Amino acid sequence: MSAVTPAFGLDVLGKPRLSVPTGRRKDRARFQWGSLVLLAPAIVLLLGLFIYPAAYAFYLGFTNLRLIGPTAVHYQFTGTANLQTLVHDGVLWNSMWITAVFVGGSVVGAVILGMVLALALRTATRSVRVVAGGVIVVCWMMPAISAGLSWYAASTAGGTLATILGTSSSDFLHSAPLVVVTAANCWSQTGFVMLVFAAALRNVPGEVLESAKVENASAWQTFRKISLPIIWPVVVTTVLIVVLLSLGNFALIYIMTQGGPLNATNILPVYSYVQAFSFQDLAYGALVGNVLVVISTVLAAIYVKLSRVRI
Amino acid sequence: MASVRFEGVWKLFGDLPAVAGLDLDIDDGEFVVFVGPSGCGKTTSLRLLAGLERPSYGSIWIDNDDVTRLPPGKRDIAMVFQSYALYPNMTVERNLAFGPTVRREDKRELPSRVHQVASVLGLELLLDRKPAELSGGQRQRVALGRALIRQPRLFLMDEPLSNLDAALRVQMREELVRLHQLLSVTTVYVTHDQVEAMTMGDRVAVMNGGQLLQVGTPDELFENPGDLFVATFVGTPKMNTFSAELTSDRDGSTAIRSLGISVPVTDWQAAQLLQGRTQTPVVGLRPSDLHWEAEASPECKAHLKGVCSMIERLGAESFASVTIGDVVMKARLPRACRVNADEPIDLAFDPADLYFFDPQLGKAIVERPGAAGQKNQELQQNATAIPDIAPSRRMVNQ
Repeated sequence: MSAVTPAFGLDVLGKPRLSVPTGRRKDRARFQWGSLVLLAPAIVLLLGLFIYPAAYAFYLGFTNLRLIGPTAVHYQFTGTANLQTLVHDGVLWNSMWITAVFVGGSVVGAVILGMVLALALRTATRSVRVVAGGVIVVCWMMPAISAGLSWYAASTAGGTLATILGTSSSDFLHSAPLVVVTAANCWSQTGFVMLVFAAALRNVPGEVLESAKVENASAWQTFRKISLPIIWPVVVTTVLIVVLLSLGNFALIYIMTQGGPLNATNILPVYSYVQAFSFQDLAYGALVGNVLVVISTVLAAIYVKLSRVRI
Repeated sequence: MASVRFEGVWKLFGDLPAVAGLDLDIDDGEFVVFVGPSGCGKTTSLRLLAGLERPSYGSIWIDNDDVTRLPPGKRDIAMVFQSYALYPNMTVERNLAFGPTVRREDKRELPSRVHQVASVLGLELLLDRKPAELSGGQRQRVALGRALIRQPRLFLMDEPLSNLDAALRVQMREELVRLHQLLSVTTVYVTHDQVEAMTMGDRVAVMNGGQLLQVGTPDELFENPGDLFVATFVGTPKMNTFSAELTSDRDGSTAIRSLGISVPVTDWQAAQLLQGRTQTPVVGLRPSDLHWEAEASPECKAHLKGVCSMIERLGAESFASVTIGDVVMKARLPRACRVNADEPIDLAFDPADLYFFDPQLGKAIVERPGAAGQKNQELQQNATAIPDIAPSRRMVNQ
């Protein structure tokens, strides 16, 4: 191949006759050592404020550290002792189950409710959309403490819920505690879900929906076969975000039930807190926290992987 | 197969009329094109017919059914959207099968119907691709296939070719006309491209500002535009217009004075001009009727001298902007004319080719017998003798 080969045209076999230059390409990304200097502050912050505390907490889970007493200061590494306790801890396994029910219930409820609201608000008049959307977003913005207190007041004996149902003496926080805290969490997450879904639904092209309308597809068929598949990546990532937000929603449950009655709402973060600060077993509390970190990390990894997928 | 009738249809968006009092009859099997500039109401008219918009006033009929309040899915129509509106999550095959599936049509026939439509449009090898993996022309064909598989009473097409490149557009234009000849389903087609409108439509409806200005065969619109807007919109390059003054010679013959010369008009022009109230009509002359003096026919009795200010050479012919006095006129010049910019050029035209409009209202004030009128008469005479001329494509205005 010589340099005078024309850079266009076809050879006798119909293949493009191109003389592509060789050598080091200028459009390849290259590592630049200078970038480390610019990244240094972020690296320091990440190491000091996240990696080190997380690793230290992880280590504490394998010691005999207590809140008070001799080992509060002179604690030492105890190997797998705490881990063996953990494996045989019935309360912990029950707590994992409660966590799953709480998170699962919240996700299913919030996603379905959020989707229904997003779809309904899309066809609502402007005034309804502004008012209803505003109220729902306020529910989401409300701090967990306010939400928890509101729901506590509503669901306890003599509260709004009991009064509406005409049984003012019944205490739903006692008779169905897990249902009430799940509903409260669902209520506080729905606004976020609705906002995300409403934005995603706005990206479904109008002409595509009109085309389905001309084809005589019903609203359900249009949603099921067109809108939902188009926004599916958003649904998946939203589900994972709600899972992660619910998993860490310690404040809401602690305000309402403190994990009770009789551990009925004892999700992992609450159990971890109770072990560390009520039973003063800081090390075991840290270990339960580690379990939570592992579960969250796995879910976060799935989230990161899925959020890169786009149609 | 269906006829369509718009009866005094208005569509207001807020207080703004997008369609103003549309009255139009479309015959069974006809290919009607709505054409006009952006915002003229042509797409809104189509969406009203599809049922995607509801008229503010008036009613719309398909065959003998008042469909004004009927939802789009119940109208038995198929629509091709400008953006194609393919379902991005489905393969080509499922895009084609979506309509029949949601309408719960016979499942056993579906695969053969899909393959039949795919083979008509040359989509067989693309059936398991998704829209994102198709080129513009292929997407356009899938959108068309989705309409074809329905076997509807009515095809509605909203600028279906506007996203294609020039070569593909010409090819698809021919394919659409061929399909219409094959199926003879009533088709309403919207475009802003007057070339598309003139080449495809049995009849063309020109709209502007929400109003239907004129509807007729392409020849009628070209020969006898009802007003200045239609006259300048139909035909490329657009018609030259200039002001003129009516004069009467001593011997009683009528002439117009314009562009520094006096042009005697024909008897039929004079008769109609003298009936009109205006003494200063706006005169139109198509660039194709403004000839290079050297090759002009003997009928070109009016002669002009001008300076060529700009020339666009297209190979087979050229378009020149010629300055005559303070008027700039477009002229179509033959290949043999090698005039350059800033050089003088002699032009000539036949006064019979002039168009006359009212200066205030813009309405045409002289009806031309025109080539179209003569041809129509000839065709009608021939049609009785040879009945099988162009059976589905109506060249003759009926």
